[in-house]
Amino acid sequence: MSDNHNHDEHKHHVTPFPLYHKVFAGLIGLTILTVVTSLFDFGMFNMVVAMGIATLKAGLVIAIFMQLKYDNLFNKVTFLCSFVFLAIFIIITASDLLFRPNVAPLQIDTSANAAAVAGPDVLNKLRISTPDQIAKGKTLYAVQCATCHGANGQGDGAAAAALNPKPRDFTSGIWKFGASPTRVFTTITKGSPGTGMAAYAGLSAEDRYALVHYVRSLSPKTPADTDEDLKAAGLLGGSSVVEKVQQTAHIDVVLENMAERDQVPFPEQEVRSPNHPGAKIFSQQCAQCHGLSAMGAPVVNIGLNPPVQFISKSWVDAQGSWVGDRGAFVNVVSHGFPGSGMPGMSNFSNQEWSDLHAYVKLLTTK
Amino acid sequence: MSSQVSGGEINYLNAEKGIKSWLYTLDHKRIGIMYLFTTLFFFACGGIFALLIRIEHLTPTKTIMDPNQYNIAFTLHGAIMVFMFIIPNVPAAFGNFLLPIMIGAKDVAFPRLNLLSYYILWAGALLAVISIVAGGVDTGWTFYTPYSIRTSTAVILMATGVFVMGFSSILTGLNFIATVHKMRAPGLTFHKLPLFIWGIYATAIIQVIATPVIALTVILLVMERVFGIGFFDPTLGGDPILFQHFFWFYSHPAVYIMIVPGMAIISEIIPAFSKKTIFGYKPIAYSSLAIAFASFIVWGHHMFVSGQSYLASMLFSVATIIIGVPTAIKIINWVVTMYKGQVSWDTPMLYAMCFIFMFSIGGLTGLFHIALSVSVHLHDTYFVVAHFHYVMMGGTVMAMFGGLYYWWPKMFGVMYNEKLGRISAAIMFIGFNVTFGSQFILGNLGMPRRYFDYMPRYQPLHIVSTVGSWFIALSFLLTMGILFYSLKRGKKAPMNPWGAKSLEWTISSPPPTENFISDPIITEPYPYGTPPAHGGHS
Amino acid sequence: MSSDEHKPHVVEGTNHVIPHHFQSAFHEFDASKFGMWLFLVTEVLTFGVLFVAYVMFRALNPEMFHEASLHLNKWLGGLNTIVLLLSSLTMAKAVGYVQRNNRKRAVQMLWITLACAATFMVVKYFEYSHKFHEGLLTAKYFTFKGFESANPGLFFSLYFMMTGLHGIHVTIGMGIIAWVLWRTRRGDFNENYFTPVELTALFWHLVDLIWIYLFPLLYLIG
Repeated sequence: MSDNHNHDEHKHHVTPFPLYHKVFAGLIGLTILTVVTSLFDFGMFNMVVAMGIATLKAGLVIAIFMQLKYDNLFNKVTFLCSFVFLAIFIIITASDLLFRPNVAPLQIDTSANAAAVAGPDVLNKLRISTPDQIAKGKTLYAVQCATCHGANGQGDGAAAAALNPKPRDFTSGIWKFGASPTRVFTTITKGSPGTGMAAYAGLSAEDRYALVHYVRSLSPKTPADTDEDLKAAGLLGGSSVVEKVQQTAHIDVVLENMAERDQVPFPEQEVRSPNHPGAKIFSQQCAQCHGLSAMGAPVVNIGLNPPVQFISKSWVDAQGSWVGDRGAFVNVVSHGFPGSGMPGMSNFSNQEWSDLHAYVKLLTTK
Repeated sequence: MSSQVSGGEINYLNAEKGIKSWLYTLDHKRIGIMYLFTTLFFFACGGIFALLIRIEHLTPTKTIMDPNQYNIAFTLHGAIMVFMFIIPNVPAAFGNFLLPIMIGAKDVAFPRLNLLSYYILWAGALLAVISIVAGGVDTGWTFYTPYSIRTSTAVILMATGVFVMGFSSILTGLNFIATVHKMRAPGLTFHKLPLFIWGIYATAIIQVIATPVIALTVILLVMERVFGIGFFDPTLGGDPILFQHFFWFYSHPAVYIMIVPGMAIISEIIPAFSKKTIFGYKPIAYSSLAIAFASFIVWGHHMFVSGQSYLASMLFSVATIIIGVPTAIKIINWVVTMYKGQVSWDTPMLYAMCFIFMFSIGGLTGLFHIALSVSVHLHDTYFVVAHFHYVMMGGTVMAMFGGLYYWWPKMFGVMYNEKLGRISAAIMFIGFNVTFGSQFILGNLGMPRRYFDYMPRYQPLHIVSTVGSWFIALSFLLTMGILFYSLKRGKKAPMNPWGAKSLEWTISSPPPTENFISDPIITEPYPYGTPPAHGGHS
Repeated sequence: MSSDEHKPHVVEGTNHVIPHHFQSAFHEFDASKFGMWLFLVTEVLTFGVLFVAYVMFRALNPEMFHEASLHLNKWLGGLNTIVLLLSSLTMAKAVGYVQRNNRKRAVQMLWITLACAATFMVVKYFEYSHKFHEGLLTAKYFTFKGFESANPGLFFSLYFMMTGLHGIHVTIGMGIIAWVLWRTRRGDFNENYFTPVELTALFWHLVDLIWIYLFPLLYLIG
């Protein structure tokens, strides 16, 4: 290592040319050999044979052509170390890429109406729970759901730490969007916009119902589908129209509804135009969330676990299409906003719809 | 020895005049000085982005920038600090200036390559600046795929800039390894080398082996964006985690490129200001090498929650525990060196104390992340941010400031105002711990990193952290003021103001261009048994 | 240092001045060669990244790699292998001739080396244009129909990246060899000083070395 002596007596190594020629012949021979051996199948030794021959060739080039054989130990160690580090790189990376848990690749159905592919007959059959479905759901759950909802469905998965609101604890008996099979199916399909619950419309209907039955099997509260549920799912009567996946609500409304918020002062409100035919409906059905004169309402805890606090904005000056157009208004109110505190409310007569719509329009003007 | 004391009338600074003599210089000292000012300038640039980030975090929602600008701000802060300041600074600035002198050589092995390395750094920096002008990058300095493939920001420009700057680092490392092996003065065996050299040497090994990997990785990222090669794109059959493996195979050893030179500086300062031979010379020397080699098997500890296999995670976790050992050896040996020494608390020593305190905290908090389960809780939170700032800034940057004050008299032949220097260290200590100590708490409470907005309950600690950052800025400005003022008005520095024992203190301040007028006298390292022949405190 | 330190040391028989920070011609040679080996270390790690990607993707897609490899012409690949091996021989002999002070033969060897390198690039050109023609391109732009396995574009991405990076090195090597050839003709080198030739040869052998591995890995997946 100490090179600090008189260097002048060092002689450069001169390799005799016949050696070079011999090595060259060897290299050509090995090249032919490697092409020939590639025509045979040695099973799992194919790579070994090919790399073995390549390394022999490499060794000849390095030792003789690059003269490393005649070089000092130091240069030898330096150059060969690089292969050691490369080997470390390959082996440790392989310990990840080649040792991943065996998960069947997710089939993403990118067709727009994946939810609508399964017809009502199929859905009607699927919504009845069977042990097979529960077993299948359990396997799917581990892959698709456990990260957030926890291995045992208690809403304590690893990712739950970062989520707000927290994922549903299925063992609690609380179902935000309905506990019946079709309702849970809808929740899985559409997700809960504004929360960490994604829409799993890409899974087949069979897979989704399998999950439905599995997660319901964890819950103490599992009501059956009511007529209303079936009607909402389009499974009652002749209608085969399944609801379009409604992903978008007015996002700031939804976010406001779902985020924890400190108390925000709201103005004291009184019922406006109390003699208007729609006033009674509004103050009984809508005002507890939207405020007596639709100027927004303070934190409302509707007793879920975890508690949900939301705020509804003031509608004064609201200009969405749902305000002007009666059809749009009916559509919005009767479907509600999945993922928000706004439920679907459709038990109104034609006259009541008109009154309510007219009243709401009134409320949106100052 | 006495013939070396020429008072520095003709020295490397004034031997040749004019800007061309600097731009075409082959003198390692001039190249080192150019690197020093360049990297300090980049440090200020990166620091400005840091201050902007902290101002943004004064309130939970928008303060001075929108979310996209915020993403760009933290990306540029990271990229500038990592690639343009901390990687080149200590090796290229201090290493260049000191290495040949400390080994009794006239220059590095390849002086023209040295100058080329410096210009390559500027070329890469220019590309980075163009990238910033073109709108910046918002991927985080880690460029994770697949977002870095899809984002419409100036990734290609920045990636190319990183590629080019990587070459600067590689060539510097190559030059230093060759210099240490081939250019030592007669009689200067490896075990007589100052520990600064051991540190720079170990760093150079990492630079040569690891940097080529990041170079090709960023090229592959560019290829992915331009030609859709699919290596990292899951929709084309690739694996985004493969990118992370490639990225961290460099970037983890890179953090040792950042810290080992800082440790190397501390190994010089502590014996000098304790007037005592370093305790455990060989363990410290070999621990630098051990860290360098071990650094190549632990990269996956940045990827515990990425989705890599459990097997890989476990391997990396175990390997990372090992790497704490050589580091601890150093800390213990430094502290023991001070025991029963004649300690003087000049500015360099104060910064060294900051280093020991803050780097220890940083190192220990690294241990939290090694446990896979705890890592899940802490990953991507402010806890991680605090950890790496404690080691990188509380470590390397403190060491850099220590080295700056320590070798400033040698480099420029002037003494700085000692009292103000000590004040800068005190302000830095307070400011740093306020800024980043609060971030440990923030992180543990759940504050995520790289988030534009946050829950209101985190605001008080964020405000505390931001106020701390202003003290850091104040200290930095004060240091710059002190040092630049000394250039104009500083007292003339003697050959050996500190009474230190390595070779650079046996030549004039500033040194002559050829370093040694007469043959350097080789002694055992840190021979504080014998009283100093000249110098002592002025 | 000695009193004649300011007199430039010129290597006997050449115009080469030994830089003042080196103690002798051999010191300079030894240090420069070591520097070159260090550079070759960085090249191994650079190409190594692509080899890592290769190992991973091949292990995960063995049948696809086999199927895709059939679309490469192993005879052209073999030809290129032999051409590069020949160029390594002539490059090594070029150094040998300089050491034997035979300038004429050294230049001849360097010309043959260049010719081999050019042949390699021409063959590459034909291979590449065939791929472009067939739509055997990188993953995103892959249009060739008729593969049974999934993600064949991944193999061709690797093919283009690995042979492309290698081809860039061949081209740069050609430039350096041309420069060394010009200097050799000029009489810059002899047995006492031939460092640039030596270093160029080391670089060129590495280029050959990489192809020795690329050939079976890409063309001969049996």
